[in-house]
Amino acid sequence: MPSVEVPDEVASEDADGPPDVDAPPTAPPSPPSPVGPSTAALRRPPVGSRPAAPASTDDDSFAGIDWTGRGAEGGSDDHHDAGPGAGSAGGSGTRRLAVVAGVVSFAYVAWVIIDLVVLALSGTAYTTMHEALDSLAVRLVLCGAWLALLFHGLDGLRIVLADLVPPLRVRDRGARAVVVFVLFATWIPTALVLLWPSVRGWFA
Amino acid sequence: MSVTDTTDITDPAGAPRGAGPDDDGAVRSWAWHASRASALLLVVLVPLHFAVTFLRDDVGATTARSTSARLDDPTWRLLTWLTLALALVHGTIAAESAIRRRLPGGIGLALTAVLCLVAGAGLAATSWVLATHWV
Repeated sequence: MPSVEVPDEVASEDADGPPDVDAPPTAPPSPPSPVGPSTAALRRPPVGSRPAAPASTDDDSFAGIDWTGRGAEGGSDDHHDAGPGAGSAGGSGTRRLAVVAGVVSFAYVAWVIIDLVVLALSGTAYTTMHEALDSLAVRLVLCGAWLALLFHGLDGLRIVLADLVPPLRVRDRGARAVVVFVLFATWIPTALVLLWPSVRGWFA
Repeated sequence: MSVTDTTDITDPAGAPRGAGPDDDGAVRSWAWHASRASALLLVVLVPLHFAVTFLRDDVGATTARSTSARLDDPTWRLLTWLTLALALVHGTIAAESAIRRRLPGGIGLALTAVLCLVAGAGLAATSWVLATHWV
């Protein structure tokens, strides 16, 4: 029986099963090529990209942002979900969380700047404003902002590390677990410190 | 073939090729580099700033006098300025990219311009406050 030379990429695909279960079922098949399977058939568009958009590497996105501006919506988490266990370790939900955390972090920075400007304009107004901030509601808001800052930083660090050390990409689920662990291991005690002045009266 | 067309499902590591900045020689914008560089600094600076501002000194006990005393230290003043400036740069780049992606055209451009103006005003205000009131 004559052997058929199979490119390495095809052999790898067969060994690993269907490469992309998320691929649209209506995708037109590639035209037959006289020189063997087209490598284009082995490629897939970035997760979440618009069908009509030009191809874009997932690495052009970071923290949910497409740096090419070509319309791909694949975020950093989609990028890393391409590894084993793709789709079960986060994905668009985590990306949305990252975007929300980024917006909250930006709002925190804006608030710090306004705080500084008030201090420069009137020390009395600054002190009065901070006395008004001494409430449980404001402390809860601060706890939320602190959680967003921590998540944004730790998740971004995971993405940067995965890019700097490519072997870490296959351990993405573990990295996500580390992020969640460090996030709450840091946030819970510090949130208690933030809330304690308002709640200690309950235990008096 | 486009230089960006490298999302190969058969990468031995099971991940797209070219995810690292230098893996495939893809040229990235200055914004990509600026955002990552600022992120690496901010991941240290922002928690430090938050911890000193809200954890070491309780938010309810903060007064103009205590904050001014903290800002009398030039190191803390520099760290505050650096944190806010980098955060503004980082946030503006990210927001500009998101706006450009979702709102291509004139509206997106106008929003981007407004965003840059607001960020510039914030940076100017921060620099003005830190440079003129505690020096």
